[in-house]
Amino acid sequence: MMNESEFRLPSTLIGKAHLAQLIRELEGVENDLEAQKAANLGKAGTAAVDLHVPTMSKALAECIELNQTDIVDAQQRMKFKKTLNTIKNKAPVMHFTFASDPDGESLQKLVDWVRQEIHPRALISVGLQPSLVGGVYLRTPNHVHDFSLRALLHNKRDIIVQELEALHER
Amino acid sequence: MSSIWLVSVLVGVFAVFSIIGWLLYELHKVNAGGNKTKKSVDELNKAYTQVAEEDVHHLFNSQFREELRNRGRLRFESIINENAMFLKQDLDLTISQLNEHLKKEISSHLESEFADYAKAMNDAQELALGSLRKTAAEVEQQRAALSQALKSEVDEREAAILRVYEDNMAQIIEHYVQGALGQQFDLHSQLPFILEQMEANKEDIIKDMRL
Repeated sequence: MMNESEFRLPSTLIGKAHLAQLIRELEGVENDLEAQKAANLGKAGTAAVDLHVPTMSKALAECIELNQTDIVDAQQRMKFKKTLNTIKNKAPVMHFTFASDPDGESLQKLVDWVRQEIHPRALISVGLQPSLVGGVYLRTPNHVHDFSLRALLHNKRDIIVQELEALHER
Repeated sequence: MSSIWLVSVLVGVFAVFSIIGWLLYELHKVNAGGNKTKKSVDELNKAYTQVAEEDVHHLFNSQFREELRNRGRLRFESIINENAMFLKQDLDLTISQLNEHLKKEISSHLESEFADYAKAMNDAQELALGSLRKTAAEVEQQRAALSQALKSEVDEREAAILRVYEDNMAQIIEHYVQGALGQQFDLHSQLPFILEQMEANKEDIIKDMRL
């Protein structure tokens, strides 16, 4: 099991909501495993290693695999859960607003780039604003970056004015 | 003309009285010469007087008096005619001189008046010309100022209209692009642009995330 600073999030896990969902799923898995453990304790001669891991979501499975965590081990599982809760509460969140609904594949690519270049445990929240036309409106904890096509058009309005002036002079 | 005739009649009357006076004087002289030899003369006179008294009617008879009257009348007429002629000549001369004088006076007066009139006309003409020139210059100046003001106003308005047109056109194009592209851009096609923009601002974003 990696320590907290080395903890990696899968690209399928995008935002805080996903993470909360993942934690709830983990709690379910934990309950299931605890129930199995309690049931096995009632049966004489049954070892703890015989615990059956319940079916998990792709995101949770990827996260467990990525961080090389033994989910059956209660201690590792507890640490994993604690780390997830810490990330959920403390990880920096970047809010991306798109002009149209983003597809999953592109969003994963974007998340990969952010976690590779910006912060390994950054979470992303997604918004929708059609008036942006294209591009993205990015809000970091303290700043706003407008990479939208609307802003680009607005900033490049001089080009249109110059073209119109040239047309007028002709 | 009536005054001329009055003068002529007066002159004639005066001439008649003069002749009568002269005759009386001659008679008095004749009478005065006889006093020296008064006695003889008295006697003689008496005799003459007697004779004269006797012959007076013979000397101054009606024929003689008529003749004298005729002579006086002729003389009077000739004097009157002569005086009238002189008077006429003087009058003609005076009239002609008066005419000449009047002609000269009137001519000089008219010339002076005409000269004054011409001078006044020239002055008025010069004044009018000057006024017209000044008015024309002012009108030209005002026209130039108005033309300049109109030109600058038109230029200003043209520039303002052009500016508004360009702004509006830019807005129209912007809206058109927004409307035309709208939902057509999917994230997959935009991703290179987004990543490029983020790469360009990576340092700022990282700095902000670390705060």
